[in-house]
Amino acid sequence: MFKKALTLITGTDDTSALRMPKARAAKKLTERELIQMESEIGGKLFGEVPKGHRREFFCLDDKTWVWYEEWIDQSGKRQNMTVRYEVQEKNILKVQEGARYSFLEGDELKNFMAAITAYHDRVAREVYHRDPHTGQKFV
Amino acid sequence: MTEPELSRSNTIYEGTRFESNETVIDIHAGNPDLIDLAAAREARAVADAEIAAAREAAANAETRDPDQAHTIGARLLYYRGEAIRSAA
Repeated sequence: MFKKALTLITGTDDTSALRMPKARAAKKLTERELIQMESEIGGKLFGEVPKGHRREFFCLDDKTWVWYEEWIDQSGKRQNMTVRYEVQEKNILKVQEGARYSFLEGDELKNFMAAITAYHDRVAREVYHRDPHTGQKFV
Repeated sequence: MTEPELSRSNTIYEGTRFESNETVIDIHAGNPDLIDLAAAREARAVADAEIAAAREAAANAETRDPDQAHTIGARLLYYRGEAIRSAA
């Protein structure tokens, strides 16, 4: 699921280190698993996912956000799209497959900021059980 | 009527037209009032200043977004790190 996104990000298709462990301790979550939990929330921030689509939206690190979408087209062929957003010093760069680059601006920038703010607030509450405003853990 | 002529009288009469580089002021036939050119210029200057301020505010708002995005990302990384550390 993340292979395509990670290939775009890292430039390698070696995702062996990121595969889900076959058995895990009940409370011992890896970074990879936490990202997956976050992504389940992130993928639903933009409204209902169309039937047959799979959508992921997650914060990879403090400067990188990833949108991944996968679907079956009319000919039955699996399609996917990955967009990487790089937070730079003065801009946010949108990187799409095919070496397409653009800086976010206008409504797209507003929507991106709204999305990551909502992502933070929901993930803080639902994954990390923290108050999104103070960062403090819920008692 | 050209601008030098208008400058002498400082007024524009009905049916005349004043043009600058960016602005056209038409004195419509239905409005018989005299137009004070100095006041019109002052209003134009105020409008230009307001537009410039709005543009600057919009630009500043956009330049703050990367900082906010970075802050959000950093917080999430901290939460993740704490979750991993506390579970270890």
